[in-house]
Amino acid sequence: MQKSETVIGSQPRYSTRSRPGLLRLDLAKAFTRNYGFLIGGVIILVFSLLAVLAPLLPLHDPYDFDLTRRLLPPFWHDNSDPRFLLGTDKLGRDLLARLVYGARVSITVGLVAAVISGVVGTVLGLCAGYFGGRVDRLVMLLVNCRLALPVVLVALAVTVVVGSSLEMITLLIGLLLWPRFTVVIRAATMQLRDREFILASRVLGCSNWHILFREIMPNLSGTLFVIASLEMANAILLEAAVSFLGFGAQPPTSSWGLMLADSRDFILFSPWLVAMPGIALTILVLAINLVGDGLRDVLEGISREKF
Amino acid sequence: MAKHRKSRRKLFASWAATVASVAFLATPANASEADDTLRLAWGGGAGPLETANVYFTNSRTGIWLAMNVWDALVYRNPETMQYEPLLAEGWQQIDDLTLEFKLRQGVKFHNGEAFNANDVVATINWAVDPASGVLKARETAWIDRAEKVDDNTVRIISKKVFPVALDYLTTLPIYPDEYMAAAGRDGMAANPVGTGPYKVAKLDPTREYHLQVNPDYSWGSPKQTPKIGNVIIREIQDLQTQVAELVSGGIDLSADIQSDQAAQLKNMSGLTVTTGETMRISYLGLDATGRSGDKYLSNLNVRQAINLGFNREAYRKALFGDSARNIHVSCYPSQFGCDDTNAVRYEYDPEKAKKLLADAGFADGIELSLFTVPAVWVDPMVADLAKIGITLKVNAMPWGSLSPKITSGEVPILADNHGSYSINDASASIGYFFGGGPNDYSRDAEVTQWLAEAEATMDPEARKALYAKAIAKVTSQAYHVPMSSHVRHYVHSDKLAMKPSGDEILRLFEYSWSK
Amino acid sequence: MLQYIARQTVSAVFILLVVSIAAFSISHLAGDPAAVIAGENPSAEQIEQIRKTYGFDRPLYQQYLSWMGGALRFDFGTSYHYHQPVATMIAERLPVTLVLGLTSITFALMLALPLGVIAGVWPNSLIDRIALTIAVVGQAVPTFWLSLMLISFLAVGYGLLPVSGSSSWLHYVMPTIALGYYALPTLMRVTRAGMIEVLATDYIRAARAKGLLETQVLVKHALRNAIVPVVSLASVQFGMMLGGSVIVETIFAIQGIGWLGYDAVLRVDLPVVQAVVLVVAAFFIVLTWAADVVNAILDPRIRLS
Repeated sequence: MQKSETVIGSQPRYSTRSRPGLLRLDLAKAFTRNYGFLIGGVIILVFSLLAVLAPLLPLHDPYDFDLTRRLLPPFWHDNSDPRFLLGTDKLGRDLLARLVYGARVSITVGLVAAVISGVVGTVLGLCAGYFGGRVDRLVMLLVNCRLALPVVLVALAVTVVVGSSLEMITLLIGLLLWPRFTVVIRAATMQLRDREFILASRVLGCSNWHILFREIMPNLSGTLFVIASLEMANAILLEAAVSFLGFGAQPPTSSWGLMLADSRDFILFSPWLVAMPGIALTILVLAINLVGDGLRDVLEGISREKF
Repeated sequence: MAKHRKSRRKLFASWAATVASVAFLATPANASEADDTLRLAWGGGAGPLETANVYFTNSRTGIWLAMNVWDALVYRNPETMQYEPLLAEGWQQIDDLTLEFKLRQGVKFHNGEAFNANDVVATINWAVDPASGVLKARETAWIDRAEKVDDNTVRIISKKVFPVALDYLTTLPIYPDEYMAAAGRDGMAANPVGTGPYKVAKLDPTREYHLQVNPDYSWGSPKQTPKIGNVIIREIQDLQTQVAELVSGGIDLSADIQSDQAAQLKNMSGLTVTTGETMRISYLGLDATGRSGDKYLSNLNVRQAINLGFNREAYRKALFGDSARNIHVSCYPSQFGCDDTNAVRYEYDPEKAKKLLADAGFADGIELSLFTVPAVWVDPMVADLAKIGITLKVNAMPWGSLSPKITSGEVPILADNHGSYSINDASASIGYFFGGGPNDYSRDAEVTQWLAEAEATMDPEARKALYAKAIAKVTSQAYHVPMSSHVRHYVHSDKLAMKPSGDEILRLFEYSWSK
Repeated sequence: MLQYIARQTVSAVFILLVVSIAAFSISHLAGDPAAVIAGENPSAEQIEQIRKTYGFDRPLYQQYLSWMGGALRFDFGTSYHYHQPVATMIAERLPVTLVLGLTSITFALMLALPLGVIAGVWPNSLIDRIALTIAVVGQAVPTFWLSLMLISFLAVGYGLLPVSGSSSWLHYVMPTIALGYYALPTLMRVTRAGMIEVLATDYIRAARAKGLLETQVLVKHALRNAIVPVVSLASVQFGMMLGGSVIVETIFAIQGIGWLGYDAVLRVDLPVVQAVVLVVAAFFIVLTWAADVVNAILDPRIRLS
């Protein structure tokens, strides 16, 4: 079954320890030449800055509503209101402010979910790859079981039973998205397991714990970042989807998924309401994926440097 | 990809043009009139109808299907609210517990089976029997049994004095006894058979309902002989999909569209919006007895402050426009016994609300938890109450999760709406909310007693007086936050002529193609 | 060979077992299923009655065993909400979802294979760039948003396609694009990577040295090898689509098991939720199993590793 876990190009080709000086130089060069990485990085930086600084920016209160100014169109329409650059939603809340605050929600959900799934997945992957044998078989069984479960349905079913909130859905997503970490980390660990420096540590009597987290883990950090970025993007999409279906963030939270759910009925008449959260979502996820792809390409070596 | 990207660019560049083109390209009501077929979408927001065997569903769409495919003994005229003979030619009250019905002759079911007393007796007794598992317990709980007097006469005997019997009988469709015995419950669901103005011609696995006019429907029913020959009903849960279908001419009628979209669709060529007020009312239920563990709501000042601090008029206007009205007690004005002259009224007054909270010692603000279903629009409540120092924590969940919480008393504030099952009597609203049942959060023994008395007497004046007393008490105690009646928008093709009704039931047999 | 297949089969059965426990436990995560079934206004006696009727008073493992025993005979109990056998409902709705899944995976493959091959043969070419853009965007566009956009442009704006439903093949076009687009990037990347890898092997060099035409080399030798992982990935993706069609089916009003599952979740109709999860998972497991076996037949190295 393992063979069908296709995780593309995420096995480290070299140990970072083997050629430290050369690597740093290569890395810097490779990253600056990788336009996807650069563009993605800048977008993420902008989104993150907006999200972090949101309360300091000259924005309206994203929760302040006024039914007398509902559904105002954005600035490129004739009858727009200059106070509301991107217009207002069905409650008269400022769309721009809600988008910016929505970035907070998405980025936080993505980060937290990626960390949770990263921790779970990495620990399982390290154990499976390092110990092999029964541990490995058990872990791969878990991976395959989780992969067999339909993510969206399970997320919906669990939230409907235990109650839905942003915290709950974040945790749930974190607990659902770990398999890719496990599969990749496991494969990488297997490769490292028999390398000299690991064997040496073992001979020196280091504990398994020490070897796993002090010797093997540092070598996997690049790989980890690549998967974390992919899963962060997935988590953001999943949160939006679940919130769109009404099982994630609760009103009046300004989550992009919830904004889309709230405004979907307006798609033909106030299309910007649907377009903008969707575009924001796409751009953020795109940027994260670009950074992830860039990271992977760079780490994969110089063979495809122009990519 | 290129296409997609282009469309994205277009999306940004020319939204206005797009919307204009949407309006231009829309040519609704395609061939519908030509092939005498009305295309209808239902289930918006609510989801599919679970079964066409209408005794096994409480869905609104089930009630709609029942109205068009079956007949009950009695018909309630949606305009006059008077009872008219349907399958029964006439009736009389034999004693406090017994109603006798003379049945109409010459009526046939869609499969040719003749209608007679056996059908009525079999249907009623089957519906009353808990073993049959029908979901109409609320509608049939008052019935003890049905008895055949002769082929054209039946008696229905109540368990107790029940003043609203006729109204409840309008909701019980009569099934053909022989067909039911042969086909069983699943057979009836797969091939429904009734006496009504439309028959189900086809019900395919993708759950499209094809209705066809019943050619034998000419025995003088107060429901009319249908003017439209065929109806195709499709189930579409997503409202924006329904809107898109209306605009692109895929369907001719939807009764699920919300106010904002209805207002926009009204401006489109080819579409008409008919709006009607309905019996459904919105309310907030407050846990006055502290069953949920809430510390604040048992305080009268807090409950009154919520009533004063929530701008219900602005909410009603934004949500429903001017076709709905604000209410001062949780019942619908046309319902028997729903007279709000004795009700204590709470007009929007945030200052007074703040003062009440301060007097109660909550000047620093309190946090309350509100439960609801995702469809309920809670943001204005949250924002209004925030202004008087009440933080509302919203828990929106599907009805399936919420319902057990309500029943077990875990809900401090419930934001919900209630359609009184289309029963035109305060027992279905005031009685439902304050009669001591699971949805009664105030648990006021005195009120419960009055309401029980009101349901146990046949004397209309005595009933009115009892409801008036109950209304005065529940409003002065602010057990509820009564909000407003609802409206239903029927968005339809220009070529369709239809009229709305207070009970929100689609009477397809009344509709016609406009000339 | 047989040994390998046997091993995969045992593992698949094991996975199915664990998944069935997971699906079963959904209904027991919290709350009282009896209270859920009772719906509005039940009395304590009614709830007790339901508990007995449905067997909620038995120990959990017994409930699981009888549920699983039923499931093996394709009997998933009765829906709380629909009051019909869950198996009938699934049987009624599964074909629509299968059709949608098949059209979507076909759509994804029809785009992914040529683009991936060309991108792999000429890395860094214009087509490679375009293919890459498709891949990156495809992974970023939320399926539900894409669905809404498709409806407003293709169906409403230009009137090219019917908005919703499943009564003709035209109705499947938009849902197919929406569902297939998400699977496209991975398939394309794997095709591309496979081509690059195969083209660098001695085997291809030998073929070229024999003087074969370039197209022959590409189609007969390279593609045939590069496509092996794509086929297995496609079957996995197909399995995922069956569970991932929830939103697409709801938006396009397609009465498949995705919508059924969503509706069942909304109504806390637990037997239906459990059954849909189990059926979708079972499909996934069977598909991966089949992919593994096919792979092993095509590529002997796998079963030896």
